[in-house]
Amino acid sequence: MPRSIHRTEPLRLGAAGQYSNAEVTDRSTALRVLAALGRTPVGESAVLVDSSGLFGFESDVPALTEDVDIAVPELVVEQHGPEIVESLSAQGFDHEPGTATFVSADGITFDLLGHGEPEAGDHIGGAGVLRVMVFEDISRIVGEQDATAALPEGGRSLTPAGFAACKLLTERAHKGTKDKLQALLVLAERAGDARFEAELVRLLRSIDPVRLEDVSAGAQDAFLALGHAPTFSDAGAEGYAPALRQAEIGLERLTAILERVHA
Amino acid sequence: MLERRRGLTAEERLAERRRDLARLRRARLARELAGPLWRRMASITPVLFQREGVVAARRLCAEPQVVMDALRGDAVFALDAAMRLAHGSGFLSAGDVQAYLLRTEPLERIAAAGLIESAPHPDTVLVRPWPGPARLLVCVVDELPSAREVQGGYRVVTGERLRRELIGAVGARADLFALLERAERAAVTSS
Repeated sequence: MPRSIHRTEPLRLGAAGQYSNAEVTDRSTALRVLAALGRTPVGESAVLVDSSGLFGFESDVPALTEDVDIAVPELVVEQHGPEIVESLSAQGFDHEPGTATFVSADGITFDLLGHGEPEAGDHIGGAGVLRVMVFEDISRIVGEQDATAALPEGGRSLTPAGFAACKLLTERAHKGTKDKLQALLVLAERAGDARFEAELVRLLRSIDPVRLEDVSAGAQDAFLALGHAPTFSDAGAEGYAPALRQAEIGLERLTAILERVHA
Repeated sequence: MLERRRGLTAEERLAERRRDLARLRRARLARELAGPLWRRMASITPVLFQREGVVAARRLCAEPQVVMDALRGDAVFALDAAMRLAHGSGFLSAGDVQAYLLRTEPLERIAAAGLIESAPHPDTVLVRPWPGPARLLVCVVDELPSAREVQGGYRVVTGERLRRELIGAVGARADLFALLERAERAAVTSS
């Protein structure tokens, strides 16, 4: 059997905390940020999104993110923007003027995003001192489709299916294929998890068909980009071969899931 | 000490998002041009020839057909070589021969016969966007992939696998994929 079809090895990429890169954030940092937001008008409605979503459920897929991304209801930002900024500042998180970024003296950085009515499309929400980017896709998954779960420590995070859906729908050319690959790795990690796949089918059914084609094309492109990366080989990059195999499994699962979505 | 990236303003994020959506719109146009072929291509999990095992490259010292003849008993031919052997013409222009082998001994044998160079060729990039000599690209695998026998007694990868290898090599190229599908259909009709 060709090597690429061996699929019994577990993915062992390690949690983000295992890496020595001090710029990469971790779960405890994300929880600290959620706790701080919990003491603001945002309360328990803050949701870990983007790569930070990986801190909300069990996964060996590394988040590899420098900051924490949090989605909050657009309405709350609109109504309580100045109070949020003030409360976070009192807790040691300084607001970068003109942005939705907050930084602590010990180097924690987090960004607020908004979620609102998906029908409003991508737009800027909030007013005055705090304005946030509101993404249509995140609004649909986080808000309308309620793909989040409460964390025992406070706040919320995307469910695994919510995370996969958001990442598959994320389009950020400047970040390369990271978003799609993280989604494929989570899909592979949960291959055979009927509940996860059913939930992902449910979420993707709410997405416009042309966006689903974007998802399909983007995922295949990401797999190809990983496979063609000339600097990777198993010599000196021990995680590469298993990651490539997992991405392949993830792509196969995604194809099967999209067939169910279209059925 | 690394300097922390400045946070983006909401306007900058929106502008970034619009650039990404513009890129998506261009990709959608290409999909539209590909028509129904696109959905078939998108549903394929690519096979990456160069990641299936250990790849070795040797410069050809004889015509590709002569090299393929010499490897007939050992190899399962892949990609462009499979296309040429199965359908008479290939879809890549470099003139390389791609084949799976279980071991490297056949390489030494045909090198001794003067059909390929003895020394490895340094360029193992599967589809080169730059000029170079015609090569034998071999992927040494633990087990040969499923194959079919075509006229002349050559073993080539199955049609389904050839589709996966093509996408793996060049991405969702509708023109090349159409060429392959047409050739496969014609072969089925004539058999």
